Amino acid sequence: MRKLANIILGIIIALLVVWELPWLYNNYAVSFLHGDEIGGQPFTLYSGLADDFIQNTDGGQGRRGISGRDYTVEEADSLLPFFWTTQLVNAGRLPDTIRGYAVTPQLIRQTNINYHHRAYDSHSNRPNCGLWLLLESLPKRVNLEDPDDAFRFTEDGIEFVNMNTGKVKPKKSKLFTDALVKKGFAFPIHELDGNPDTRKEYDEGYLLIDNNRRMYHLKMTAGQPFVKKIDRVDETVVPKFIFVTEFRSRCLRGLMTDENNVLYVITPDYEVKPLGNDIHYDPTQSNMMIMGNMLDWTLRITTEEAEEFYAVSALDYSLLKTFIAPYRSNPYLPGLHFTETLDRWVKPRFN
Amino acid sequence: MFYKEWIKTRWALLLILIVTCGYVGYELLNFLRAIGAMGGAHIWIAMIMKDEPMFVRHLQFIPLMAGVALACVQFFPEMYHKCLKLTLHLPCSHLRMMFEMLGFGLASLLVCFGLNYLILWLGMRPSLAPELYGKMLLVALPWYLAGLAAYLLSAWIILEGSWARRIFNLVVMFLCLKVFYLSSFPGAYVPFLPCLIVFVLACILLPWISIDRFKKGIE
Repeated sequence: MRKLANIILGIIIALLVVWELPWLYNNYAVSFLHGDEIGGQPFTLYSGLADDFIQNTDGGQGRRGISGRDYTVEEADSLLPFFWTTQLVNAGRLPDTIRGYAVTPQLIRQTNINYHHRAYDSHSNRPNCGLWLLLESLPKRVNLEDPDDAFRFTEDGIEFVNMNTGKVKPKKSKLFTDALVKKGFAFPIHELDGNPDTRKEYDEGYLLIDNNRRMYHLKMTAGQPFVKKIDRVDETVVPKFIFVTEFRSRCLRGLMTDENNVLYVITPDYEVKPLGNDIHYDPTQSNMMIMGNMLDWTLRITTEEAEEFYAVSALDYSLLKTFIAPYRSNPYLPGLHFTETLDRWVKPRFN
Repeated sequence: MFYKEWIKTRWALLLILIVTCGYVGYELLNFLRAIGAMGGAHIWIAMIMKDEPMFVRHLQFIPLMAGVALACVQFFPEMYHKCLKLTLHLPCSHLRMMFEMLGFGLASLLVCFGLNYLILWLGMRPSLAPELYGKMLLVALPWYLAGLAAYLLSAWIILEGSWARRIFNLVVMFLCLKVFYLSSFPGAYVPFLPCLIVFVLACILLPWISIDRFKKGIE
């Protein structure tokens, strides 16, 4: 028994050593030894006027294009008029038209988009309680209001629960289940995404992927279910993850990735189109940021190997320019970890 | 053996029971007051939208302190009054006696923690969906397992005769217990819970190392 106890203690100490020593090295020694080598790309945005990705340099005091050209701050402001709008308005330098399109500060603010998706937001990368909130998309007042019920997906339907009494609402549950079934929805659900925050400007409800990997749009309008089936781009494209965007400009319904991690947009008239030329994004392993305007978007996809920047046209979603910045050699010591930046789970992993 | 342990620890156990249940009661009162003031719907929405250990967060270190306190009450007298020496002279298996002492402590803590869980469950069940009170009970589970681990590791430290080794054991205990507090994201520990339970079970054997060294007279 003494031997077994000592073996257990030995295993515990060995695990603590491979956990704590790499942690100490990676958190304190790496930044001291490799300070300048680690860290990602500076803030980078695509300029349609210069056809160049422009980066902040010198701690934000300078600007440089990835083409190698240096810009003054004022030049960069003029080349990124959709981003530095307030600065240009203050300086009286905001043009009336940009690349042939009439613009005003209000129009720019209305059409600029900003979207983030982090790997830990993916449902497989975090625990979910399984209850969701569906807002009324056509509220009687101007502002969106909190609902008085929550819903859950069951094996064969959708179930609304009154949040004040805790009891299931059978009529509403049947109404929404029937509406989904009528459109061919196959339970149980595979994936869903929605944003039930009432501080946004409008509500698009939820985008759903059913058990047959078909996409649907579900929202509640005047208390009634609105269900729209979204056709696949073609039968070989199998949806895997789906995201509601709810941009102020309503230029998109959402985004979608397929089994091969190819990224697609869902347009306002429910067309599914590939974004850029075969841009790959694995929502469980990488983070994505989209900053865009009425003419072009900059996508930054941060993977474990590189930071990828894509410029795509906001008009036809075609790829305009690509810039991929691989990380330099990894100075981190492998070891035992229990948490990761990519997910919310606590579990042992060796990397 | 059980009677001896009961005589030694009964007042401490009562105090541990009162304190842990008191904290659970305090959390429940906060929960019921929030429901009364803002309505059930508001609390549901907050619990669905926020990934926080709402209404159980003050319990975080209570089971850990309960485990350490029980180990101190149970094993300090054994070392201070040299009772352990007498116990080890009884004509019984030393291993069995150790397991009985630890078994008593673990069973007492399990009853106490089980009661805490029962109170939480009974208090939250009428007002919340199973998904929501399940979320809160899952958040607290690693903390309660930490309480059990803290009891066993404290026993391992207290029964150790050498101070240098005690300090080493204390460092190991601190690092081991850190694992139970890496995240308070509701449900984050679900895939790791079986490993934590195995770890707690494995810790039962560690006090045997201290007793074995004590028998050899290492101080």
